[in-house]
Amino acid sequence: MHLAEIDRMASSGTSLFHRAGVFSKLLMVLCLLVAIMASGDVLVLGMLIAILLSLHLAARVQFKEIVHLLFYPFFFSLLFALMKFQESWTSGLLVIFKGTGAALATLFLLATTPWVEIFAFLSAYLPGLLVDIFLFTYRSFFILLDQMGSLLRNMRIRGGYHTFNIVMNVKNMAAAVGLVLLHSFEMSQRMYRIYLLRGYDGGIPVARRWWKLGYPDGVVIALCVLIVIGMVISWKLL
Amino acid sequence: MSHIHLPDGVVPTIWWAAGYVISLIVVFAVLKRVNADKVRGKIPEIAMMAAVMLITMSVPLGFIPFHMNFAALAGMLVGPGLGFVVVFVVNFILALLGHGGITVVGLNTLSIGVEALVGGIGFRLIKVKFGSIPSTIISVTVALLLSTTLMVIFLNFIGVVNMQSGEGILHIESHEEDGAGGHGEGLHHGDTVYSFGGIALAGWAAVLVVLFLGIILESAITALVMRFFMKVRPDMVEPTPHKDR
Repeated sequence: MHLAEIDRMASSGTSLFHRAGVFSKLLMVLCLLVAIMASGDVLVLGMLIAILLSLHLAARVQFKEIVHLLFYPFFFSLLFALMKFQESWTSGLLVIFKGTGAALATLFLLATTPWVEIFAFLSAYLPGLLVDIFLFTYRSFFILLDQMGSLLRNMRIRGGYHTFNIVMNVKNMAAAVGLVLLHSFEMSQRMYRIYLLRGYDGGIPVARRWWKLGYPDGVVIALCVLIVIGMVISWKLL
Repeated sequence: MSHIHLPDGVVPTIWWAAGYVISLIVVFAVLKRVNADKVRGKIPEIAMMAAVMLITMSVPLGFIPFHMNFAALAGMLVGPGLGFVVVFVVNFILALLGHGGITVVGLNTLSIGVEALVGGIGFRLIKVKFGSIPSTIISVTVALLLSTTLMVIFLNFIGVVNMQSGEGILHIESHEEDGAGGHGEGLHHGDTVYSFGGIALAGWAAVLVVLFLGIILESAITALVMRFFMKVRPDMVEPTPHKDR
């Protein structure tokens, strides 16, 4: 599901958007999402998608991963667009542009911001327990993926998977899920104990001062203002 | 299995906003009700369940337009309330990655959360009477039927699917990798056809076949996973008397 690739992009990127703070990027993505949701004009939505693609380009993200992830919203938008195309082609395009545009906006945030930074920002506003679940789900995902990969490989090597024997596959898969869940759970518990030993007591201590904005934040906030102004002007003009 | 794969911009604002508000109220109420110190020790268990759901919900089964959720399993293992929280976390992460719109996270949480709530509560209520495995099958089946029914009624209400013909329902659950689509003889124009071996079905016939297969598959796998846990770690399945689950 490309979480590892997205995480690598966010952590290893050096573009201006990677250096900008979480607050400014969240603000920009929120502005973009509101603009996409509120707009009922194909041209405006096309412009917003063009802006988003330019932002992805400027952030030097791997388009292969983004395009793969965009396939989901595009495909499901297309299904609804096919119904809407019977009304008019603009109605159909609106559905596709809104679905794909919103996904592009959230993917931009994830491709330029490590998850831990997002969780750290959210921990100031959300219940600590919820942030902990988000954080450990993210960590557990990688443990589980690793475990699952090696277990499925072992299953195939030892003849535990047959393309046409569905009953045996279901039985073995259930045992595999149980085994992986149990093993990963024990590993996750160990990881949690290590966290506790290192002084973790829930939530993520926020060391960064969100209100201290740098040059990259200035650029991102200026972009937010431009998007909002652009949306307001288009409403007045059309 | 009742995951609403609607993109952003399809569901009217009032509905997705209401979905967010209600699901967040439930999530916050659950988190407020539990004893944070006691639950903190269970976070690895909860997070691992969420990670399992993240993976299973991202992998379509291929031969039917369906993916498993394991939300009922979450309700049984971590408790109905915390299972609902797990469902919210999973839906939020999936939506950020483009799997389901970001605006429908609330509605998806309510729809799949019902599976966790009904599955978890049902399992605890009937476990003593019927035993672990039959209780799992009954709870998962009831949970899946209920959540899918609620989802279809809601989507019909907002005009996304047609409950008269069943058209559009599998759109909500299908995946690009499924190979569904095409047209067969004797079917109405506009009907989406789903092929199961040599048989082509559309409308309610296709919906019922997919629903039936999906429920059997998810119930069977959940029951087998529970059987494995009962053998290896029964302490994970046994309900605890305190209210923090």
